[in-house]
Amino acid sequence: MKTQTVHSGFTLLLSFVLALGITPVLAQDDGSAGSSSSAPNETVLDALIQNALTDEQGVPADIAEFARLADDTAVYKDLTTDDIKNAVTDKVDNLCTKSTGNLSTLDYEECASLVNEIQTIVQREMSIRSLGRDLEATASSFEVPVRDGQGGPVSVNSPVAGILNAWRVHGSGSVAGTGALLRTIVADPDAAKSAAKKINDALSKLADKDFDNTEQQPAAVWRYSMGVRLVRGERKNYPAPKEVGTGKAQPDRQYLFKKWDKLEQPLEDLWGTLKATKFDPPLSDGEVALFTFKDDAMPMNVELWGYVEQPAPVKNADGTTVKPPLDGDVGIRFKIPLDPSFPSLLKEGGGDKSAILGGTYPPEPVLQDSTAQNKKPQDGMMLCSGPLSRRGFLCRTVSDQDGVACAENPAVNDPDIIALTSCTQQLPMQQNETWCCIPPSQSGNNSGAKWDGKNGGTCQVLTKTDCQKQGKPMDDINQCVKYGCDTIVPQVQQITTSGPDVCRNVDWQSGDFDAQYDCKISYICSQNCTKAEQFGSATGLKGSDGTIQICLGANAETFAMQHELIHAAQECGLPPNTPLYTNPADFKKKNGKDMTPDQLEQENAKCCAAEGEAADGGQCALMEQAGAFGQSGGSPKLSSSGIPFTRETCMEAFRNAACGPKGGNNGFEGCPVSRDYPDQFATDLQKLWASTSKAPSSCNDLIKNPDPRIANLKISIEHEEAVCTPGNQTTFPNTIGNTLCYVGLCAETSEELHRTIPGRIGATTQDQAYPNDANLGPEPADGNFLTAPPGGDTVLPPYEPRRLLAAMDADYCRILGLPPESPSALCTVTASRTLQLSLGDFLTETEQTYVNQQEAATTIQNQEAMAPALGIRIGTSLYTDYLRRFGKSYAELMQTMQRILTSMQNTNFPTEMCPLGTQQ
Amino acid sequence: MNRKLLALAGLLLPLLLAGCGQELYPDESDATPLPPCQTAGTPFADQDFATFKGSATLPLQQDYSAWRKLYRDELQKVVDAHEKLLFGDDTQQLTCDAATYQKMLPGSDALKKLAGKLPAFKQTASQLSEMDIVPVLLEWERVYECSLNEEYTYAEPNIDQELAKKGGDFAQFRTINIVNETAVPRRTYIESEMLAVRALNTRLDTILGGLDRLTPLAAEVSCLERATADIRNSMSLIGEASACLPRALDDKNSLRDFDFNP
Repeated sequence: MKTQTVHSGFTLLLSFVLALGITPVLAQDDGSAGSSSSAPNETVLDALIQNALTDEQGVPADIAEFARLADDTAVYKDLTTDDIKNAVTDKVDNLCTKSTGNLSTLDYEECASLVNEIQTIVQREMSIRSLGRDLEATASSFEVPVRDGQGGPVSVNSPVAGILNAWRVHGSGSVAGTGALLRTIVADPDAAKSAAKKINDALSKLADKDFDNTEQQPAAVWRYSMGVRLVRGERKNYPAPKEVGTGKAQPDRQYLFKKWDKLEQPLEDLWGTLKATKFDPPLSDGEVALFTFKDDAMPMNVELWGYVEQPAPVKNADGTTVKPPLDGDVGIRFKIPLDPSFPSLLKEGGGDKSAILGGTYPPEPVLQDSTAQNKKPQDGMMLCSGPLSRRGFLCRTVSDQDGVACAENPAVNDPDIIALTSCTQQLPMQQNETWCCIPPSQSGNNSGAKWDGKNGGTCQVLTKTDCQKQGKPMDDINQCVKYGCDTIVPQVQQITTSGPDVCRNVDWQSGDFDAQYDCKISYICSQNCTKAEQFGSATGLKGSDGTIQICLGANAETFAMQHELIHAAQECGLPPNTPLYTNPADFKKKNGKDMTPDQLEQENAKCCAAEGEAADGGQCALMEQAGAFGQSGGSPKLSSSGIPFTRETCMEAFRNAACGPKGGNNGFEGCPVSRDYPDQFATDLQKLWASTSKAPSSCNDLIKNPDPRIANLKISIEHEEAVCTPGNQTTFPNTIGNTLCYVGLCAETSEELHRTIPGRIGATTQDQAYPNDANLGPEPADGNFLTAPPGGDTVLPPYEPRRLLAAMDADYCRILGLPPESPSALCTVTASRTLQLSLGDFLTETEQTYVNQQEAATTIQNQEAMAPALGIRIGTSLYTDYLRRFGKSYAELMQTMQRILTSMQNTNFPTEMCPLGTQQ
Repeated sequence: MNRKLLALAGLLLPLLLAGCGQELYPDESDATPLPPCQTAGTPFADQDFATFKGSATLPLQQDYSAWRKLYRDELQKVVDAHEKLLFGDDTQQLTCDAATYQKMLPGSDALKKLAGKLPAFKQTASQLSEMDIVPVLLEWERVYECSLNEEYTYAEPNIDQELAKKGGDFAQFRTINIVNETAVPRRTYIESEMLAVRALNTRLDTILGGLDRLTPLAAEVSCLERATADIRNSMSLIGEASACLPRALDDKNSLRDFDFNP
């Protein structure tokens, strides 16, 4: 007699369950056990009770049949299913008193032995079923809350996806967009109901089929639990599970790969309906539409599920991008899986059935690829085909590079991974740069040649020269880490004119381009850019289509490009064909006459403002960043004319050059400056520029591989400016991330591209206090280009009266031929001394005494006559010294006042008093 | 070897997980002492275990469905309510600002009603959380098993009383032999019912325990979802306000719209 009836996979656990003494006991009363009806009003608990009672109180028909066929001896051939049940329920008399067939030949002991054998076979199979359901209950209760699809509070996936959706930024890059973009849609009720009815019919027939009722229905549901398209091999990126371990060798797996036509057809029809759904708005790249099915026609504890997704665009080898067709799947699954797909007991097929004795283990999983990076089982893709579960950690590609912060990592670019933080962009390493291993403390040995990197350190990108001074150059980051420098300074940043951007590549889905407010920037390379400035490049007017063309001349490089981009930024928000300023030559050419003095002054001011901003944020800012002006915090470099190179002097010199008589805009009168700039300074500045900037290999190379700062600024001007331009309407999906980006961009746009002067900005002056401003029409732009006069060094020169008096006294003594004395009275000749040296002649003596006094008196009189003149001269000198410094500032102040007064004179005030509201 | 480890892990994991959840329940000092294992004081005391059906002929036909129906009906109500919480669309019953999970997930009416009938939970029934479903169902099973056990022990005197209550022709069977014979199938039924009830509850608790392991997390996520909606609304207002930033900060512009082409 064969006893090998225990099925594969359960041998060990079976012994454990038997040890617990779980013994099948049969129902004594209403015989409810064993039935597997599927009334629609039943609940999951009903099914649970049904299964529990079946395991403990009943003998399913298929197990009874299996027990009858398990042995091919003559006695077993004469047994019926009822005989088996009698044997198991200890109704030995009913079995052993049968007088038919070979049973009649058995004596009582032999019959008792037969009953014992039957009980053992049934008991084992019942235990396997019970254990299978227990294991399934344990597994499914853990899996149901985290599987794909809809659910209530216990479902974690959908709310998490919803939360991610609400927080995420809808961007085209992998940086801002993480997690699945999810949408929930109610499926077409008619299609769902039709499919549900057919599926219910098919499953009911499987359940009602004799003997196989506990095998086929669960197997059929499990078969399509991951989707009908998946198992049919219709999904390009998710191959169907490979059929292994079936056939004659292992018939107990016969239902795992069985094709159930009556289930597949309605599911295929339903997929066609779901796929044809008109999505409004259309699915965006990577978005998933999860369908919910409101129907009552499905069998108890079985539900429909389905989703449609728009896969992300695929990049071809030639660089073109292709939008893949809609993907997705539809299937059926248990609400709470209670039954596993049991090992089959009876061979399928018509005619006489035969038992499947089992005893074989499933084959080992076949790996797709034996390489270390891709060890995925062939049938392991089923779990990872769902729109949410594929993003779980079980399905995520594990990177070997995780320990390296912000290194370029292929996994980072995978849109299917969850990236809470990741590197956004890596600045291309320049030719003169290298990875550098720097010692932890510069106080010790900082010689690159002697540094051995054993005590830790920092990996950082530096110029080769700096690295030689501070540490040891490395070929790449890996070598740097291996060398011992374990702290990595990411060489990743995004730089704009004012620092890092808050958001990049945000998909402002409904941000329609409006040439009135927006612009596009295009570059051309030309040897003869019209209206070229001193470095041979120029920015054209914004065209009616919103395009601003930047012409890059022969000598154009990054600094010049930045300069022109700032001009483009100035033009971007203006209406098309609006020049930043008009130079006198152009005006005359166009109008046939010269500008009026007022016009000239105004256009001159506009030129100074536009060119000053472009020079300041353009070449001067980049030269300063490149260290051309000297070390930060240290003394600035001096030009040959003694003027320090600073961002301010750089800006003033370039601005004056552009808007001065000698500049490219001939006819202007120059701009206010804080000092006089000799021509030599401009020459020195140009040389400094040339030695600092890096010449591109070609103009096309400059356009194709721009400096990241240039690329970012261009994006900033083209996209972000438009997002928050006054009067422009921008719409975007209502997510927290998008709104934060919008807020950030508004603030950033203001900081980067707008002029802010304390006391003049709308936020502080509250133009509501000046309601007339609303109706003033185009702003006269007078205030925009006013430059505050430089603060004059107007301290009063020292008066020093004591020194003046002392000088007077010294002069007095010097005239008398005496050493300087103070007071000067000490230098007077004493007349009475004549009396002490008598001359013998009274008259002469008297005369000499008089002359002596007269000599001093004359000198005194002369001095008295000259002193006021000297005082006036000295005073005039003091006044001149003072005016020499103050006069310039005073003149500018007066000019500014005159300009303001003139502008006020030219301002047309509204005739209506305090009009409110906007002018349309 | 791997399967042995798996089996061992299967044994240990529930024990470990059971320990994780202990903080959800009141301190031992606050818990009601376990009531005695008896029928008295339970819902099963209100009705006879079995009724005699059919005509008064031997062997006597007994109907055992009353207790089983009572047990399963209550079980059904509680599990239905829990299932509605787990898989329904209504998450409004979550109290997101509660200080504890007990208060965050208030118990369903069915759960509180059943707990109110159980001696062990009578005092705390109104404060129960939905997280307490498994302890309540375990107590409900214990009460049922105790009642079955008591019926198993005292089958003969109970049968005698039931026959006396039935009266009529059934009264003639109040003899020792007949009562003893009638007790045999009753005990057989009780044995099978106790096995089935234990198996049913084990599997039910397995599933509920598995599903509920994420319930606190899922509840938190649901509350986070609500908070997200609030934050999103707030951010929308901030976004609206920030649209004025270029106007507010740029001194070239007014806060008002200028007509560029007057």
